[in-house]
Amino acid sequence: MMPVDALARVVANAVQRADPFLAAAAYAAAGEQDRGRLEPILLASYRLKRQFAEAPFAPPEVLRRLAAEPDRKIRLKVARHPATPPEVLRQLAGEGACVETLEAVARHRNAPTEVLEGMPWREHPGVRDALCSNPRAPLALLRALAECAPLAALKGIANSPNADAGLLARLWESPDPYLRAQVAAHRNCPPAIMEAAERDPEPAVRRMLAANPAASMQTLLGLLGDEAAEVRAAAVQGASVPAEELSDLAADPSSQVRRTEARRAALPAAVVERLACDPDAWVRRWLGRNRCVQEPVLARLAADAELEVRRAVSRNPGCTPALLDRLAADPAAWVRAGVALRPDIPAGALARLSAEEDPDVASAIGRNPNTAREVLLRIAASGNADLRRAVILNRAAPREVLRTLMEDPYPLNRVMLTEHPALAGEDLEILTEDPDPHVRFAALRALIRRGRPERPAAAADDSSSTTNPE
Amino acid sequence: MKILVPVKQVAVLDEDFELRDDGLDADPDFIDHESNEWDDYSYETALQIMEAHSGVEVVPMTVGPEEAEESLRRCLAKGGERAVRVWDDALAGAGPATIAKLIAAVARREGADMVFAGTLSADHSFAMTGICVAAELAWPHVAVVTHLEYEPGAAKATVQRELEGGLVEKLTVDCPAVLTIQLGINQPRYASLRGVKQAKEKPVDELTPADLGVSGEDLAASACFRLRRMFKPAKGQAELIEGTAAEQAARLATIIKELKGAA
Repeated sequence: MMPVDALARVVANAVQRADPFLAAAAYAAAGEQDRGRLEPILLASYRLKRQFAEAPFAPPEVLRRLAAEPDRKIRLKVARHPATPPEVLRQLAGEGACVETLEAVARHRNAPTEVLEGMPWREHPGVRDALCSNPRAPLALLRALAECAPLAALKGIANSPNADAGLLARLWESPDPYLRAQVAAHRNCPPAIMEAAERDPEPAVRRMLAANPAASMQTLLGLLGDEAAEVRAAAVQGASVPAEELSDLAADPSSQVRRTEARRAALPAAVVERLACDPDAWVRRWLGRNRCVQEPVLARLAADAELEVRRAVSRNPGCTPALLDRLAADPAAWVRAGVALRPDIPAGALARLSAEEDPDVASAIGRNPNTAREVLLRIAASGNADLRRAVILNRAAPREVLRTLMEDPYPLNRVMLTEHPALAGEDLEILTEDPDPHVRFAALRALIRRGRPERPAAAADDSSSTTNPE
Repeated sequence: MKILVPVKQVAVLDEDFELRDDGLDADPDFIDHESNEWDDYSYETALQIMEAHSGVEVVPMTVGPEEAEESLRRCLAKGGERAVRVWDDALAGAGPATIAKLIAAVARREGADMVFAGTLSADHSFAMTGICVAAELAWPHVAVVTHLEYEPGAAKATVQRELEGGLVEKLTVDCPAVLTIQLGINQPRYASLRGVKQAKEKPVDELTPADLGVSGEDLAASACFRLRRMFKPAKGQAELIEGTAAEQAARLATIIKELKGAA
């Protein structure tokens, strides 16, 4: 919680400046009395109400207040807002709600179960279809909906985590292969249906069955021999497939199957060897990223003619320091940038890459937690907004560097800067004076989240930082 | 040497907008405003010429009410020392030819050597204001400019335009001229915070049509069309036909019968 005196100062500032964006940020933390002072600013015009009701950053407290507005369109926007809290949705779905609002609540992921159960779906097809797609709809409601929902909505029911074996068995009787495919993919799919799905003439059904995490090893082994490549590709991802069953697939005629196999964990050494020589570059690329691939193969892939394969190796956590050193001298900047992103980059490679001006490499160096302060300062002074943002995204960047970005010309960079833990409270206070309203909002919100402006984290702090005035 | 850059604050409609009672525009409650994207590019083009040569002045101008001054301040935050805003309440709803008459009057008053306008505005998309300015001034014009080679004071400018199929047309135009600038000709800059603060103090000359010697009769005569009505067209009656092939065929047959009046 923010100390009372600091909060009072924040509210007074928002009121004195009649700034709706500061008022919106302060409203979230303010008490009843202060909210009464902020509301005339926050709700000064219809346009402002509309803007806040649909703003992705709108705090739940502001949405709660807007839900009490008499205007139907404002309430509808609140009902559609993903951050609207459950009790507000309950209120919006109450007496007098229009059909569009009911539909929005019926579709909303935060809607309380009992509100969904009480929806007048029999009278309104739109509400019915929205409920079918809501993963919070309870089983009893899903069963009732399934009696009269159209095909497209039934697919939503088949996708619901609350659908049980009985309901899925009923849906399985549909002649529509895509509905049956959804049933076959469901974790609660009963074994009898899984067996039937394995023999289904539609490849889509067999593919979805192969992707079901609850599919048995026996089922997956059967599907590995399927005539359709997409089914084999889905089956090869199954965690329960034993490694020894994968050998033949490394020579599968379909590159889709081999690409999928190259991404699997715990590949046998012989399979890795075979896939490393695959003519398809995507297979080698996925293999290059695979954590189970060991040094000798990685070293070979690091010399691949395709730069994306070498880049994949540079991003592999199993890449050794010696290999990283080699890739740091790669002729392709994209590969060197892959090395530059790594927190475990060898010191020599970091020093060499820190001197580069290529935007991909400089951006990666800007994000690297080991990059020297003077290098970060240089990147932070770049004319390229993306490079400057890389420094902002570096959680280890010191306050001294970040302060140079407080006047970044690109407003989005300044918004992102407010989230950096090394920025001091007094810096955020300065940003609440920013000309861009979104920066002011984000800065005040960050300040309130911190509770009180305080010294930045010791690891990221610089020796010259000062304690905040509070 | 002076480059005049007309800019516009364009309307952005809310998805659930309503129309005004007179049916001639959207209800202002459902409109947000922002600077016209094309104007960012025309202003950047002018600024780059100003920065590359001494003795060049860039003047942004707009025809719009007080709220439109924000667009001018935004320009001044990037560069330029002063701006011009022309307005009279009688201009509300004025068409591009009327606006062009006022822009041309400002160009004469300022002694502008070139006018760089955006190719079109994002809200009304007439794409004719710049061309009408050229007609008013009796200057040559080139539309949809994607590349410009121009030395201040030169008698000609060389420009490129993109045509269908990626074809590029290169041509020269006598100066002074009006150019309408296309997106992508450059990378518009963001204003620095210092620039934003300084822009608040820069002068914006506020003029009326009368100040420019343009009478109400002149403006009325320049209107080349009259807005009759703005409306949302009725929604289509498309239907997604679902089910098995047999079910879909049955539904299709029913629809055909309905349309023929047999069902």
